Amino acid sequence: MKQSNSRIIRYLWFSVSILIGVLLGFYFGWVLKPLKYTDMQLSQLREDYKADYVLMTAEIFSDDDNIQAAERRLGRLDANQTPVRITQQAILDGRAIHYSADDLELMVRLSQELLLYAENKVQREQTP
Amino acid sequence: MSDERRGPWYLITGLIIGLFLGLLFTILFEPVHYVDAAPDALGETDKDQYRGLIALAFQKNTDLGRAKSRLDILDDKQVHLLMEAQAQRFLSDGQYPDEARALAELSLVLQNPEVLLNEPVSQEKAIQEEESLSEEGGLNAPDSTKSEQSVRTATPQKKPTFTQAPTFTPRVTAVPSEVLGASFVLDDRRKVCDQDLSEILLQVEVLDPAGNPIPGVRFEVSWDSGEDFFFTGLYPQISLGYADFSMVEDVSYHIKAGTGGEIVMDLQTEECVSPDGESYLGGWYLTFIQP
Repeated sequence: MKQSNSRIIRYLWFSVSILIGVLLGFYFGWVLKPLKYTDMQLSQLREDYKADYVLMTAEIFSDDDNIQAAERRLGRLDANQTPVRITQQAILDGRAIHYSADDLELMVRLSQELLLYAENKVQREQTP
Repeated sequence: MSDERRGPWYLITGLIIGLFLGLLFTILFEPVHYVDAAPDALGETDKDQYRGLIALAFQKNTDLGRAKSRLDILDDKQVHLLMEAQAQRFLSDGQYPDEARALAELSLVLQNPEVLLNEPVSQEKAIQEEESLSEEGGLNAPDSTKSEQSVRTATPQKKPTFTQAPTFTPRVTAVPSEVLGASFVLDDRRKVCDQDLSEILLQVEVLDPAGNPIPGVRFEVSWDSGEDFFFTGLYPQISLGYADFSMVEDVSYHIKAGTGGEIVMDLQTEECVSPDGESYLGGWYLTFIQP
């Protein structure tokens, strides 16, 4: 009986030590040394970096007027959103972090041209 | 062997087993999910795209300071060598000739900034640089896939606070620039008492003579200690001609629509009373039309 009690206590402490080990493992793996990701994608960039990406696209577009290239670049930023939507979001973010008037106007112009391009593309597709 | 003579080694065993299980869980089943990454955490392909974009943007605006600060974020070592190597790679792959040229140009300017001061960054120099990259075939540039780039862990960052974005894109025709520069006059002005709004807003809407909303119209707002501007069209779920601006109590705002539009003076927050007698502050809703 005494030996049985002592065995139960050992099993109990064994479980507790496993639990403590698991918690230490969590702490080590999530806090102290989390897995380092070095293969992030453009879509995972923080909003201000995305806004700067859109600004760069707008700067390039303001010079070459190549709307297809601009659309392609913005598509790389987020395949799940339209280029217009991406640009509009970037304008909102740019305003929040005090982009200059010139930079915002570049982005607004890009947004307008993308809208026009999208509209024309739809009309072309619908025309038999 | 009796239990008493086994000692506490079973505790250490349990600890090790637990540690192993915990680590396994954090690596395989629930690894840390990174969002809000910085460009230095991008994969090589995306970093190349980002670097190419920086170079193309520099080619258009020749703003070296801006290009440098953008490149700093990538945290590349020997950045001009990396750019040369990337340009060479693009050329040999036959892809992105414009980016290759821009990368070569920016690499040249980074090494010789006086080139930018003395003369416009010439296409000829960029072409020469480009040709030398093609001919040599093997610079002393490190292979960028093996370069010693310190890549930091993407750390979750506090997101900037900004207005919730529109969720759909309507099909509209872009507005010609002569419309955007037109004069707009105030057509309607009403106080807005809405407790559901999280901020006190100065709301505006711009319409053409046919009553259609106009996006892209610039509003300039000023007050004693500052000024700001905003554009219509960024909240299409409300209206393409809609925009808003946050007001602060006890500040008098003046607002102008378009480049030659009417200026509405002395707009301040207004006292409102809720149905249960509670007072709160409200804003304004202004409607401008193109005459």
